[in-house]
Amino acid sequence: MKYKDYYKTLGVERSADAEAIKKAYRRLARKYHPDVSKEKDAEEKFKEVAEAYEVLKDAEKRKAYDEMGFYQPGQDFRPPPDWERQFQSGGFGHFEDLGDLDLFDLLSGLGGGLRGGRGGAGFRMPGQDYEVTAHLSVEEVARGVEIEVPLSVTELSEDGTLRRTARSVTVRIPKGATDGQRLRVPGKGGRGQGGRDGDLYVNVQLRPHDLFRVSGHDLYLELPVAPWEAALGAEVQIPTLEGRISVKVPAGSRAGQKLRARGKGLPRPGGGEGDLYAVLQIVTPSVLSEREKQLYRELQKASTFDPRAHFE
Amino acid sequence: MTWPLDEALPLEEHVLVALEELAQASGLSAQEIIELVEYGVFEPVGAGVGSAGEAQAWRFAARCIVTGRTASRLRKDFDLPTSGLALVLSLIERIETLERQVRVLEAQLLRG
Repeated sequence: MKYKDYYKTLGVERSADAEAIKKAYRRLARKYHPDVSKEKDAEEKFKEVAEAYEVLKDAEKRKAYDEMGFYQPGQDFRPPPDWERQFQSGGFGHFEDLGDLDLFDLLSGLGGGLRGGRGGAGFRMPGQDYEVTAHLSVEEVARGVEIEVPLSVTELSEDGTLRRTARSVTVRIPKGATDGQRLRVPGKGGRGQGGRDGDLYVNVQLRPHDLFRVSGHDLYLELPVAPWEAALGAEVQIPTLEGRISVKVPAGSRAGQKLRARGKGLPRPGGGEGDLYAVLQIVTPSVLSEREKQLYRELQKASTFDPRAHFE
Repeated sequence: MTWPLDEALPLEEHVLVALEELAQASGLSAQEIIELVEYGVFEPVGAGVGSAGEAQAWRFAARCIVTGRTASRLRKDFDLPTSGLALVLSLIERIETLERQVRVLEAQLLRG
């Protein structure tokens, strides 16, 4: 079993009283709570903090934890033999092998709701809910996609002990999901014991696309055109999610002007599609040949166009 | 509407859930949900809106499950009273709306 230093996680002394532990927890929870925090790895950090507090706020669990002895975080250890005698008999079952058990799973079984229960008649525990974030590409939400979600679930095994098992769930994300959307997969969380199975919640996040930017169900594409294409008009090919299409750049176009390709955006869940907007960008060659320079000079001489007329 | 078992269901406005399902999915008690309705966090549709006695007939937009789960976590992790919880939830909602607007505007900006 791997040791976790719960005192260090909360940043308190081993002698800290309940009030100091609560204060430390509140401060860290405010900083890392995934619902309010923008800190990097907030979710991971908050899980550690919550786990540490769960154990240290409960006098019985804290005592059991303290009496396991002190080790380095991550160090492999076994509780001393008298620990097993003292705590396991009052716990929810005897573990033949503590080796691959999670420290928190072991301590959770003490003093809490599982006491006395051994998975027998009348024992009820709903399955745990899970929340995961799926990072999907624009193409994937356009088509719909099947994703594999790896879960580490804590379940009661047949001999009445808690076991952490790796499970993988295949989930179909229907087409038309949007950035930030939440989806629910009923019954795909942890298995319940006499209670309902837990649910799986999927938080959709779109990965940035090389070409398209997503706004709701609409897509935006930067469309670079040469000055003469903007001036004279042109028919150009643009990429869409389903291959290239041709669009007309009208004569006399300005930078920033949007050309709409109707229905070439992302599908909407209820049917229909968003649009694709090609935003014109007028680009000039960074290196000009002598001939090009000469033609520009001629244009300069021939034109009466004053782009800054409104400054006068 | 029937879904295959492993199909992810979008938690949308137009899908409705009953009080009992909202409670089960969010981890909030029915009483807590009724209190949050009184604070205006949840707005049930259907018969008897506004009278707690008819709470069993209330229907909630499935999107409320997301808010409800956030509420349940915040209550548990911060020991918040309902008034504080309602305030935090309305601020989170405002932040999410603003972040959505920023994303929409960013998509329309030229990268330059």
